[in-house]
Amino acid sequence: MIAFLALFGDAWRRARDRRSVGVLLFVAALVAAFCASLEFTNPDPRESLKNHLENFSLRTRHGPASFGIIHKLRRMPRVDARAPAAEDDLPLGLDHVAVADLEIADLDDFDGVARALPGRSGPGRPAAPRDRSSQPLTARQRMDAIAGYLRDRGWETVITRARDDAGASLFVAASTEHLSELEGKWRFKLLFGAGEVPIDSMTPAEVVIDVQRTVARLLAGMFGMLVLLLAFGGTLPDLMQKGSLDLLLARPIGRARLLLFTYAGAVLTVLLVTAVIYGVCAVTLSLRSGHFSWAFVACALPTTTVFAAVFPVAMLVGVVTRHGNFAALAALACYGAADVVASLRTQFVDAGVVNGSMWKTVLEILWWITPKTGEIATLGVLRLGRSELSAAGFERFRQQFPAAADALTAYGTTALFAAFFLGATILLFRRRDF
Amino acid sequence: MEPATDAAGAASAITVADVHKTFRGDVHALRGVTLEVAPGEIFGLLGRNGAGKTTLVKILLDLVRPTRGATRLLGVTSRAPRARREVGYLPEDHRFPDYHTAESALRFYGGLSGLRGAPLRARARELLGRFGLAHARRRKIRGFSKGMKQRLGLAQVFLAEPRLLFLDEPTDGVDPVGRAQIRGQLEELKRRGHTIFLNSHLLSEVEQLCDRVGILDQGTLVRCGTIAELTSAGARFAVAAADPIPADVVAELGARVASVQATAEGIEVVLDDEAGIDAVVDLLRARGVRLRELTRRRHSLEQVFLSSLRDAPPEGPAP
Repeated sequence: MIAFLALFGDAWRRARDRRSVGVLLFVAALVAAFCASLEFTNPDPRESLKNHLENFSLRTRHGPASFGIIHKLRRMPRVDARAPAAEDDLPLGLDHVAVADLEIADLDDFDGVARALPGRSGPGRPAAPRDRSSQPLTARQRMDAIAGYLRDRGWETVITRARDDAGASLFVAASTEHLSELEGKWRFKLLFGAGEVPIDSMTPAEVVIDVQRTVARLLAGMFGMLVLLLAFGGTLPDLMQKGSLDLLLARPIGRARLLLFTYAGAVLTVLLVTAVIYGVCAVTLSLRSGHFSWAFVACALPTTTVFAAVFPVAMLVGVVTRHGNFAALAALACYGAADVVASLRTQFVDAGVVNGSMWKTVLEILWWITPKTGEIATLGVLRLGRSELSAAGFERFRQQFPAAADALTAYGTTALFAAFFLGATILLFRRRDF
Repeated sequence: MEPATDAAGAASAITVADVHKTFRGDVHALRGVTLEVAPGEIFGLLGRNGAGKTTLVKILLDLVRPTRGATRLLGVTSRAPRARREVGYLPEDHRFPDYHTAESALRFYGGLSGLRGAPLRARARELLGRFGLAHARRRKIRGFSKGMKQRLGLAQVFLAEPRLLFLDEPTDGVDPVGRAQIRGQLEELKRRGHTIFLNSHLLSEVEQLCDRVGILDQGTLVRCGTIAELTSAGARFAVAAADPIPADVVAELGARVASVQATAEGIEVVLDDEAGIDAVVDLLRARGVRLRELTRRRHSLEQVFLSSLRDAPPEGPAP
């Protein structure tokens, strides 16, 4: 334990001394300052309901950050949004309520979109082509379609009443406890109010998560890994310089323990550095959005896991070549290759490449043996979404990640990959003369 | 501390038994080296560059694995990390991580040796003071001179209060004042019963400090013994007289001893048996020679060293 603390202290000093970590902290400071400059304003329920009903359409969230509109009404309905009145006879205890009187301009047009909505064609799946020859929907079906559509925009309670037999004139009341999970129409301000961004297809919570995700991508992505590996990739080659290793190996500590403690010290240092960066960003974001997220701080764990998975590659290459930058670049190449393999595999699945084809088999084998860096980052983002959104909000958020790997496979195969390289490094290091 | 009754109960502080080391490419660094160093002894290992001195030390510290043979430190096999618990090592051309300060480096190496907390901090400061680095304890090592690095290297050797020290060129790069200080430290350690294994090119240093010396040549231990044993020139004596010794007296003496040679101060005689020196003195006094000095002749360690090498320079005098 004492030896571990000594090596951890050494890794910490090394990190503080390296310019690359300084660059990372500087970039993190810029990100934190950017987060501090944001200003969020929750959507106005009445405005939102009016906007939703006027833009009754089928949209998809399939694929990250994709909000493509598939079917849209040709003729906009007439919407009179207003504050609830006593004669509306709404149940008590509803939060953030908005009501609207809706006049559908073209029932046939409306029915075409309503038929393709989730619930009929299924969430996230491509909608069926409009069938003009289908029977008109009943008033009940139209009300259900509107209720489903509004729930998909973030409304938790939706009440619809038909004012005529055909269901062309409707009363709609909607409410939500979580205004931050209500999709548009709202604005957020950048750079302390210098810029204003109108949003109508995302919720404030999703934008906050997107900012957090961007920070996580910065650290767990190519840039973060480049910086971290440049800072720590040379640890072993430096230790193995003539005259340096003698001072270490002459101590009463075995070579395997020395390597394991060096590895653990570097990983723990990365965990602390990234936790500090995430923590600072979380605090600044919470000051602006009013919500502090421990889950965002916990994103340090997947980032550190990604580093812990590829760092043994740098260690092995470092022991073989004794060249720090080469070791760091080899680990970075491994990280990039794992990402490419995962992307290709997803594309193969999306493209419907049949099982048993040679390329798919090769890709599957590669996917199983490479670290699941991308998948681990995605799992971290999903955990972030789960902790910050309501159940319904998370279900909507989750549709952006249809092909997320399960945690056991992602973490298990990554741990095996790291263990293999660490074991090989120890084996080589123990047998070598210095 | 009394090394003679050490916990391990080892008769020898260092044991090297028939150690061979062959590196890749068929380079024979060591060829059957066997030696023992007693507790409390200062042992000097001499040899040319590439003779195998550093390889032997590295094998003792498990930095290099022997091809054949075994080594023990304080009674424990060198392969076990615990063998190095009470060992200090100053490598030749040592290199500290330059992001450390003098104090943090000592705390780092002390931590690896199992020290911690306040005792470690106190020990680090005491050593920095002892080796004249107290003023630089918070300075990064990258700004140190060669001499300062060497002194820091020595300071780290003493961190865990070792009973056995391996010093590879300890005074390399240190100015004369610093050298004298280091020699003083080593003499103090010797008085306290520590065992020291010294690799040095400075023969005068070895001659002053070491109880025993080994000479390694091309991987073979060619000579090993006390300084007196190695430098002894047999029964060779120099006799200085107040006046020149008459030639007939020298000739008479020549008939009784192995050889006699006139010198500027008197004569130099070589006897078959050193007990014969009394008869030589008696004869000279009987012939009226006024004696001023009688000295036993010795070789210098340098002469011994050079003559021990297989391909010694031709001008190297034979012992």
